[in-house]
Amino acid sequence: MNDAPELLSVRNLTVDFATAEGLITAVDNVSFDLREGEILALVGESGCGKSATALALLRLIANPPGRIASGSVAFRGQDLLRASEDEIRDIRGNRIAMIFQEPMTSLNPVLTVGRQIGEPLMLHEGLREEALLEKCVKLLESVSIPEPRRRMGGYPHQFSGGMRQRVMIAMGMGCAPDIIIADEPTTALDVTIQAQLLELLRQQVETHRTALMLITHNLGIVARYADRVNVMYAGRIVESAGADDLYERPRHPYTIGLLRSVPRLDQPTAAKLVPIPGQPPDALRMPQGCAFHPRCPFAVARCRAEAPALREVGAGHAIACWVDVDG
Amino acid sequence: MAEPLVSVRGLEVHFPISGGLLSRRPLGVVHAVDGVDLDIARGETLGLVGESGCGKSTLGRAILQLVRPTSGEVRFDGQALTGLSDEQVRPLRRRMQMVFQDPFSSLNPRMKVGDAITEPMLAHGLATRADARDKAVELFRLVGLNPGMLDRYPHEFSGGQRQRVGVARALAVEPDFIVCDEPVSALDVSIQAQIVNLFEELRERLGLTYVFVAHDLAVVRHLSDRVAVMYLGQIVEVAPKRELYAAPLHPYTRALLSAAPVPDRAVEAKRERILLQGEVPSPLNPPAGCRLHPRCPHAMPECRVVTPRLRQRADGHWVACHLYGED
Ligand SMILES: Nc1ncnc2c1ncn2[C@@H]1O[C@H](COP(=O)(O)OP(=O)(O)OP(=O)(O)O)[C@@H](O)[C@H]1O
Ligand SMILES: Nc1ncnc2c1ncn2[C@@H]1O[C@H](COP(=O)(O)OP(=O)(O)OP(=O)(O)O)[C@@H](O)[C@H]1O
Ligand SMILES: [Mg+2]
Ligand SMILES: [Mg+2]
Repeated sequence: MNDAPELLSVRNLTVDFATAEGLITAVDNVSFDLREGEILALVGESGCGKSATALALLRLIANPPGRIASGSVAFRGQDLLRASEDEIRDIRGNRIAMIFQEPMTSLNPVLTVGRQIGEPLMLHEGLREEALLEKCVKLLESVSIPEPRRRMGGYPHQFSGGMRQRVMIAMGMGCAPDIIIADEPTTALDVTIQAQLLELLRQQVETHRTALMLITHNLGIVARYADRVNVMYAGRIVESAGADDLYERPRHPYTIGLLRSVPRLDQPTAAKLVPIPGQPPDALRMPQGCAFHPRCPFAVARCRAEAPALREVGAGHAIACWVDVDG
Repeated sequence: MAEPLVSVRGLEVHFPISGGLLSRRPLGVVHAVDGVDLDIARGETLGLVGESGCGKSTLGRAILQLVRPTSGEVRFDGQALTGLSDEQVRPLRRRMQMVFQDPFSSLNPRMKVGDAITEPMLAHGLATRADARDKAVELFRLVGLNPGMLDRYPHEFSGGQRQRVGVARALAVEPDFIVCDEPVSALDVSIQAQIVNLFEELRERLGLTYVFVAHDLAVVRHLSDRVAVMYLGQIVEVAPKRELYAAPLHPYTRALLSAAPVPDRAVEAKRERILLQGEVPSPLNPPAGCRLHPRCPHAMPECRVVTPRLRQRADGHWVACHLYGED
């Protein structure tokens, strides 16, 4: 479907955290590729390891308590996990931009918003004074912040939740990076601005051949924007497919459950939503075999004993499941 | 109508903003909430939707007196809150809770979340030290978190897990009224369904009253009895949910509904979207007349001059728009 060159190639990535309760494996042997001009969605339950995956790509996992236990992340042939501090710092914010899930954890509360947008532009693009100001104003306008000149002197707490998120997006696009990793970039945004910003990101992808890794739990957004989708469960990728394919023929029982539990505006209100029964697994006591088996209506004996690896079940469509529900 | 639990009249919240670090020169006043009248019945769930930055969080905070209104009145259970000192509001705090939009900045980073949940229970004499812990365990289960995580600090959770900590903490003190500010925005659909069902159950069992701020219109429809639509500090439409979704009157509401993504590729491809044109207006300098007029496809000469008042068009369906005439 997409023969563009690979920009990022992730192999066997594993991330651990030492917690009060013990060691947990948040990301477990994850592999995927990201190509030029591609929008790759990463979806999955809260706590399944999406943010940890994203943070690990840029070596942003705080150590301790976290640790990248194994794997490689090749960006244009260079292994980011083994790059020097200087090299990785240059790549962050310049070649690979990260839009963080919670703006307040990454925006500095004591610096003005203007300063925070301007600094990387000074650093990486050498912009100064009037040119810098102009660029900052433009960026804020592009994310629909009204009257940016007057708002730029404000601090993050004086912005609404969605405005902070838009500031993050503006910062992410500022240096025209090769890759944008956007972790739930529009959760705090109403649908109209959400649509505008996702269009903006899509334009960036189309005109600059930027690759976008879009982490979101909103399957409506995935349906509208993604080319490919990786579905994660309990630290692993359990299904990987082209977006059309995934919606038409989801083949992992978890994905099927996921698509069923969404309230939809184009359908009448059901009495109750149908959540996937059961709880996500306890990271400290991962079930034997397939991590999804205790919640899976199709589980067979083998699922309790052995963890399935990701295997191809169609062109560009892979699942980690012993029972191919649709096969 | 029986006496409402919450009654808001002429509420205004204005924030002066200045030039930031370099200058203390005042740059203007943000009209975050600008003349809101609202009644919320006991046991009702009122959905509150609108563009990012339109004042939803500020309205919620002002109702709870977490930010003091510039003018106007808020009554809770018959008692005027505006005009009470912080000291006098304090005993009412337990009954009125907020689930904050940004869970990270509302949790103390140096306090284990278990303590953050049990402490207010103890402070309000709702539990002994022995059963406070049990209650916290129970609350964690209800929001789908592993009770083993009670001994973690806020930064050791994923975004969606932290959001559920916020929900558990608000529920811990057995409030009568909760303002839920985007309480499920960071949650994937399955856990979202679980929390949404929890809110519903608690309402049926304990008669809770909610204001539910969310940009996900499908979730709002699922949970709310009535929905209020806000635009630039004002309420432009409020109606029982069925009417609002089936026959929206205000041009802004219509644009909002048309922009919501639907998790279906085929439906997505066919749907028509009304994108609002033009500059996003600024709350620093709201347009005269109807605040939507510069972006409204139906704007008429009088819209530029006369501010439409909220009027009842059908039973319980209120709209502020000149299209529907003056009486
Ligand atoms: N600093 C940390 N210390 C300990 N555990 C952590 C830490 N950060 C994340 N975790 C745990 O690792 C797991 C994966 O977290 P991650 O943030 O990647 O989830 P996520 O998929 O992004 O979820 P969400 O959709 O809720 O944001 C979770 O169980 C979480 O509790
Ligand atoms: N403490 C503050 N000082 C100055 N301006 C503020 C402050 N708090 C909020 N504002 C401004 O008030 C307006 C309304 O903000 P509010 O947070 O209520 O919006 P919102 O509707 O909740 O938006 P979102 O959907 O993005 O969360 C915004 O322009 C915001 O910048
Ligand atoms: Mg996350
Ligand atoms: Mg808000």
